Amino acid sequence: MREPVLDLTYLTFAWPDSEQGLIFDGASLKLMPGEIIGLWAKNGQGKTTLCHCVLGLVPTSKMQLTLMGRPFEKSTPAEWRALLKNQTFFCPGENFKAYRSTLRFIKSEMKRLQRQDFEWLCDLSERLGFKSIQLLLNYVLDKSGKGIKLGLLIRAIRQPSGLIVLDEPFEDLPRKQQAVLMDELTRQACRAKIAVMCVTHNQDILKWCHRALTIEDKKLVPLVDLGANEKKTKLDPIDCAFGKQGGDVLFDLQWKEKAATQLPDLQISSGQHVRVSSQDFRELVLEGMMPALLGMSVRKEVFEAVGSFRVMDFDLLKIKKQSLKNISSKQEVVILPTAGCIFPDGLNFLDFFKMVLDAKHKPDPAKFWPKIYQWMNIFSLSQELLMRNIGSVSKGQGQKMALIYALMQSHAKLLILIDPYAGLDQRGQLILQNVISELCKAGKGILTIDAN
Amino acid sequence: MKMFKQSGVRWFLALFVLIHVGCLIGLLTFDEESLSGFNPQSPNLTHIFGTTTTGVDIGYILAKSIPITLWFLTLSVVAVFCFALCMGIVFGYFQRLNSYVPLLRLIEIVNSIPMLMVLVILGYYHWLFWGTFLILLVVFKWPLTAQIVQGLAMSQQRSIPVMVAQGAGFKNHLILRHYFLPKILKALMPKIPTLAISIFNTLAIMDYLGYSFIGTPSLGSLIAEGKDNLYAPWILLSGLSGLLVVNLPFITWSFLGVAANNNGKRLTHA
Repeated sequence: MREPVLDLTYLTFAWPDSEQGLIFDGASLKLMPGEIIGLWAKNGQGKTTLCHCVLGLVPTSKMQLTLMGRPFEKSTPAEWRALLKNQTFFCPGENFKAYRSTLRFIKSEMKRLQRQDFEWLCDLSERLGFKSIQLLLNYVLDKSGKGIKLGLLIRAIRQPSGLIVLDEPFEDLPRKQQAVLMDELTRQACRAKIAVMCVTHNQDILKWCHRALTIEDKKLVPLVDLGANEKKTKLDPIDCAFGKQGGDVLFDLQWKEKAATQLPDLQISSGQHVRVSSQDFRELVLEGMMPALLGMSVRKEVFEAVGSFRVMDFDLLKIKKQSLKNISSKQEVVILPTAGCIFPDGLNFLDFFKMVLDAKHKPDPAKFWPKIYQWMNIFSLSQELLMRNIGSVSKGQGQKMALIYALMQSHAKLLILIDPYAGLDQRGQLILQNVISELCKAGKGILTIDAN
Repeated sequence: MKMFKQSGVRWFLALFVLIHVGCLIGLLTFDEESLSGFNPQSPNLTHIFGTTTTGVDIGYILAKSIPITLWFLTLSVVAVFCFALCMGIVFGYFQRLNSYVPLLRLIEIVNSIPMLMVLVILGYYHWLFWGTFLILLVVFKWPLTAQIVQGLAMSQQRSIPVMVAQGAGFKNHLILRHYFLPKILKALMPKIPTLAISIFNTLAIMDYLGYSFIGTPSLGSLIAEGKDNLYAPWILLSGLSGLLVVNLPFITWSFLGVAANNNGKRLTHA
C-alpha cells in the first residue's frame, strides 16, 4: 500500500492574542504521491496559515501531522528542520522583502541545476520565452527582485521527492510561462514521489489540479460549485480599454521607433480605463514616473526608449523637476503598488489612515472615517481589521486595504494601479471591477498594470 | 518596546542590574577598620581581592568604580547614538542639505583630529570633568554611526513605500518615524556594542594615563598601580577583571543579537 506524502488530522489552530477565534477546528488533509490539490477560499480564511501548519512552522494547539512517514510529535526540532529542508519546498506568496538572502538561495540552486540538468534547463528557458540560459538567469537573479518567483518555481519543479507547497504561485507570471511551469510540475509529480499543494484564486489553476478543496466551517472540504463561482466572475480581456473617449488627456506615452514595435503607445483620457500587461510599463511607472513626479532624479536607462511622456499636461522628459512637484502636491496622480509596498511594517491601518487624513489640504474627519468604513463594508472587511497591521493580515485583506487607501484620494484624476487583483478572491475581483467602472463614469482616468 | 523583546537587550539589562546589585553588596559589607596591617595584602577572607599598596581595599575600589564607569559608558553611548542618528537621518533624508553642509567632508575633518591628544591636553590643564568628557566623546565618536545611518536613509528614501508616502503628502516627521526609524534602528542595534567598546577603550586609556574624572581610585589607575607593582599581581588582575565586567553586558548583547539574526535567516526558506 502506498504511503501518503502528507497526513494531517485534527488540526485545531488559532492565532495567539487574536480576537478572530479558531481558524481551523478539526481539519484533516491527506495527500498521496503524484497528487496535485488546489486550495481555494475567501480572503482571510486561513489558506496561507494552512501552508504553514502542514509544514509545522507555527505552533498549533492540537494536530497530528505525518510528513513522508515521519510524525511531527516524535521529531526533534533539528530532525524536523532537516526533513523540511530535504523533503519539502515552500514557495511563499507574499512579496519578497528579504531579496538578498532569497537571491543567494536561488543563485546557488540555479548553479546546481546548471551542473545537473543543463539540457533540461536549456529547453525550459526556451519554452519560457528566453533565448538562452544566461538571459533566464539574468532575469531570475535581477536585483530588483522581479524574477524571484520564477526562480523559486523552477527550483520547485526539480524537487526530487516530498511535498511542494505553492502559495499563489503563478499570479505575477505571464500566461505562457504559467502553462509551461504547470506542465512541468505535472510531469514531475508523475515521475517522482511528489505531492503538490497549490493555493490559488485562479479558476484555470484550480482546473489543472486533480482535486480542489476549500475551507468551510473551519474544516477542509471538497470544492463542488467551481462552475458557479466561475459564472459570477468575468474578467476584462487583456489590453482592453473602456470608458468615454475624447476627454482631457491625462496620460500620454509614446515610445521611440525601435521600442514601438514591441510596446504599444498609451493614451488615457478622463473617464477611461486602460489595462496593460507588461513588465516594462511597471518599471517605467515605479522607477521613472514616480520619482520624477516627486522631483527626484531618474536613471537615464528608464526613459531611454521613451519618445514622449506627458502626465496631466506636463512633459516628464523636458520639464524642470521643481514644477513637477506641483502635481504631486495636489495629489492628482495616485500610483498604487501592491499592499506590501505601501504599508510600513508594524504600523496599524488606523494610524496609517490618520496620516492620510493629516496629509489632506482640508482634513475633515467627519467625512473621512465614515467613508473608510463604507469602503470596508463594500470589500467585506471587518472593522476590527483597522487595528491590525500589514504583517498580521492575509495578502488579500492587505490588498483590499491598499485599494481603499487609493480610493480615499478624492482629488486624484489619474489612478495607476499595479497588480490590483493580486491576492483578491473572486468576490473582491468583481467588486474592484465595478468600482473601476464607477470611477470611470465619475471622470477619472485609470491605468491598471498586471501580469495577466 | 519591541527593542526590549530582543534576547540580547534583555541579557544586557539583566547583567546591568546584576552588576549593580553585586557592587552594592560589596559596598555594604565593606569594613574600614580591617585595613590596618601590612600593605599590600594578598587576597584573604577579609579582603577578597586584596589591598593596594596604599592600603585601600580593591573590592571597595571595584564596587565603587564599576557602576560609575558603567553608567557613564551607557550615558555616552546613548548620547553619541542619538546625535549620530539625528545627523545621519537628517542628512540622508534631506539630501539637499549636503550641498550646503557636506556631511562627508565634515566627517573627514572630525576624523582627522587626533582625539587622544586633545583629551590629554585638556586633562593637563584640568579641564576634563565628566561633562566636557561626554561632549568631546559625542564630538569625536559620532561620524562612524552617522555614516551608516546616512547611507541607510539615502537608500530608504528611494524605496517605493517612502515614495508612495511622499506622493500622498505625508508629513516628513511621520515618514521619518514610521518608515525610516524602525528599519535603521534594526540595522543599527548590532553596532551599539561596537560603539560602546570603542568609547570604553578611550575611557580606559585616559584613566590609565591618570586623567580620571571619577575622583576615587578608578579601574585605570588600579591597572597603572598593578603595572608598577608586579610583585602584587592581584592588583593588576583585579583591574583587568574590572574592565571585563564593565564590558560584559555589551559583549553579551553583541553575541546574542547576532545569534538571533542568524536563526531568523535560517527559517526564511523551509
